[in-house]
Amino acid sequence: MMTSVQTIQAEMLTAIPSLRAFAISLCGNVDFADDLVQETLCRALKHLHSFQPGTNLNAWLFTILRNLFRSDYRKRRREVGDADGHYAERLCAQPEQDDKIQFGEMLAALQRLQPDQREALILIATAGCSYQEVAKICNCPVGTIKSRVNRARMRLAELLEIDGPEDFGPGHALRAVHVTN
Amino acid sequence: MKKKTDIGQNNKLKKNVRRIRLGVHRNRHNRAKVDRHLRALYDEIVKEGTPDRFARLLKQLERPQDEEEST
Repeated sequence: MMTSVQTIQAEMLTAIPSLRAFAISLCGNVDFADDLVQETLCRALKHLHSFQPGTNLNAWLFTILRNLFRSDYRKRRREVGDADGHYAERLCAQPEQDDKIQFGEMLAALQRLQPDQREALILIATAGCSYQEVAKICNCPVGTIKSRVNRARMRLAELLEIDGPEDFGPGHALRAVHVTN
Repeated sequence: MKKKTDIGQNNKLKKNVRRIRLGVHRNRHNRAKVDRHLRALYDEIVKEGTPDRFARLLKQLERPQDEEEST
């Protein structure tokens, strides 16, 4: 029993980077996200008995974090919508970013999606969950998740002015010219 | 006379089909691009690893849980 608890704890430690990435994408703010992750870990450890060994630990942790975020926790903390520009800049400080959409822009755009759509898209597109897993996490049918993800993708493409086969939409091309000049 | 309009309609139809195909293609392309950009952000955050506070937290909790209430 003890050893299995220890393995789960060790697995939890390795899950933290993805959990953070999920939390930051979800709420757009690194401090808020880290608090969410901490609260998630505490709850997970407290309810370790309800985790079924052999099932996806990440999905279980995502569920806890997602529910925390949706509960009064969000209201108690701070209003959503304030994407953390400083944090995004820190991420952006690395080279070979010029052909990518700025992370700050992405974080801000994510905050403008409906929460239902945002969480579904992040879980599917980045966190490596299956539609079935996401349906379970969000407690709704697979078909609903599919349409949420679809709508989220279209809205994000709109917000980020992603259009056409070239890498950037006209907005980005223009902006890039302004920046380089 | 009839033939001409038929051809005209046919061309219009073909044009529309092409437009729709292009639209579908473009949509698929855009969606893939959204995912790619999103994943770039996600991966970048994952690369940051585990902040000390979490490693410390888990270490603290690793001890036998006889002091559960104290934290």
